[in-house]
Amino acid sequence: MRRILQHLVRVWPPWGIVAGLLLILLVGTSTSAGLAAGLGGISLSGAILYGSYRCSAFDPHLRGNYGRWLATTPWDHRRSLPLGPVHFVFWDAIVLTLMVVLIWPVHQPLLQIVVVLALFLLGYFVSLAFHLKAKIDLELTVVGALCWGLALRVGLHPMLALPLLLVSYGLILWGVRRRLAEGLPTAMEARKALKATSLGFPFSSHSPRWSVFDAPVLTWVLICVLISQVIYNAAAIPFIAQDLTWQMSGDSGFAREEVLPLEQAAGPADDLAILLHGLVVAAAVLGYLVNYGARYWPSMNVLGRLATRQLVIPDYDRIWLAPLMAIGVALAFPSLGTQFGMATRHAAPVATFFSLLMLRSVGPRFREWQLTGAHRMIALERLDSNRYVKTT
Amino acid sequence: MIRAEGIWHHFGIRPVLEDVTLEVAPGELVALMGPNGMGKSTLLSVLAGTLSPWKGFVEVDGVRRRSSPEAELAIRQKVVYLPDDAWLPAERSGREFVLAVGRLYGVDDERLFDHVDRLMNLFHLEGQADAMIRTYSAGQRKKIALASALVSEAPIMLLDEPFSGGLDPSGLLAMKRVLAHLAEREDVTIVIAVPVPQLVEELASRIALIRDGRILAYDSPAAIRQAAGTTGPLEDALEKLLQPKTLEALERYFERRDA
Repeated sequence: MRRILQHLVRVWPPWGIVAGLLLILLVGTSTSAGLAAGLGGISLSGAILYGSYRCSAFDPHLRGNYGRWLATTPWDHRRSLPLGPVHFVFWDAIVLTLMVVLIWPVHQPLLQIVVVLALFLLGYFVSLAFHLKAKIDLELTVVGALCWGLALRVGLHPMLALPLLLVSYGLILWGVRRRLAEGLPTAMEARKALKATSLGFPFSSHSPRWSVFDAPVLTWVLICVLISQVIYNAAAIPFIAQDLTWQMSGDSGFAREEVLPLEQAAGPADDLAILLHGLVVAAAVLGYLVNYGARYWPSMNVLGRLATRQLVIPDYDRIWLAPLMAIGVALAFPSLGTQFGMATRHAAPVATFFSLLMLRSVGPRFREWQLTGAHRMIALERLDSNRYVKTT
Repeated sequence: MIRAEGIWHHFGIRPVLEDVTLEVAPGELVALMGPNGMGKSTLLSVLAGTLSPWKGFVEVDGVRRRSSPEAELAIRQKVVYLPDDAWLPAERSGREFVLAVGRLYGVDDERLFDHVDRLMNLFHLEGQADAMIRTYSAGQRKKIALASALVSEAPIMLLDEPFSGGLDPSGLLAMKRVLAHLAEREDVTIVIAVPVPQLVEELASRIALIRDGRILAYDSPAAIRQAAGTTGPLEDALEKLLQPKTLEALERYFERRDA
């Protein structure tokens, strides 16, 4: 009992979260559905918030000051963390069980466990996404997220989804443990890393910057698969929602097709898939061009190109190749896929995958570009007059 | 050693550099001189690797700039470049900034702290060293920027107009003496772009005169005087070589006024 209480005190969420959940309860109970809706709201949003809290509040890599302080202590990864554990503890099981019970009435206990666990992990992943600049194990996190997406894809069918969610969580924790075993950055290292990028031009361009376009091929492929899977799943949300409703209703007397007119969801799903595909590819291409072009301008303008009769500067203009190919694939593939009998909601994520792949496989890598590209380095510090001052 | 070979560059229609070839030996202090807008800063940017020329290449100690990421990183580690309009982090103190640049160049911490103290003392910045750079005057910012270049202990220094930007007489004197010492005693290769001849007459081992993007002359101050056919100050020699029409224009101006 004493041990449970110790864990409870350690991982007890901030009072702000608890107050927020009580607010959700109040709002829920004021609706026509009454107490059940309030408790359901607490359960579902609470699972997301708790996942986010468990991710960001205990990992020294994600809490800069905590990590830097811990690096000055005799702590090593074999000891428990002073502010609470990052791994799953008994108290987590109690909290999640409570949330399962709150979804009242309990028709499908296993399914409700899966839903709560999925939302808990969703909170975890969303929180990790906000810490991409921190030291996270990108590959394991992405594979974990893929497992989560797969669990969603199997319609949260408990017997299939539960093992996938557990594998997903296991991968995240493996990543966290691996990073902790690698050690924490000391304050000195953190200061050095900070300085290199914030010294102002020209010292800021002394060390190459890191961009996601520099990720190793395997990591990039995994990221592309994950993004495509998100689109694939997002387009399937109408189907998944209907599937869940059918499962949660607990009424197995009807055939699934009788209660769910699935074909009606196909049109909106296709539209959503294409919309998301377009938005993702446009954002990725824009991100690529900002990364490659904002600090690195062509050394000659259009008039210079005309004057020197060199309209194309191969060593600079090669950065246009990847975005052009990505856009070409993004435009051509969906219609090509549908001609071969693929549904648009399936062709769109595949097109996203290949489009994003182009951004990494065609053209120079970002590090190589910064150091060897035929460009002119620009001081972007001029856009940030709050942080930088000029010498003259 | 720095070697620039057949450098051509255009930003727009007009060529800014035309077939510039230049070699700077280790321990040499070379001054790039010429009228405003004639390509001094552009040439310095090309040497510094922040600008890729249209044609030609630059080699540092026999390694071509931008030939490979590793080669370029190795070159950046031994070259410090200070443009005329450097940007400094406003919310850091001068001491913090200079220390960080020293660390960026891998200067040993113990030596670094001592060097920073000496630099602050040299530029009379002891009182301001721990204040935020935002609060500095233009001259103090220039001094901190120069201190950051000096603290790097890089064997090659490329400085664009190091004597301008509100530097006071003591700062000018300090900078002249330090540059002379680095080139003569520590074998540091220095290239500076300077518009004013008086400042480099005693300092430069060689002067590269640039006009309309071309190198008119690249020789010692004495040889340049000889080429101009004058034994007077370097200023006169430069006027004759770079801007012969300025002297005529002056004569005409005074003739008319007297008449």
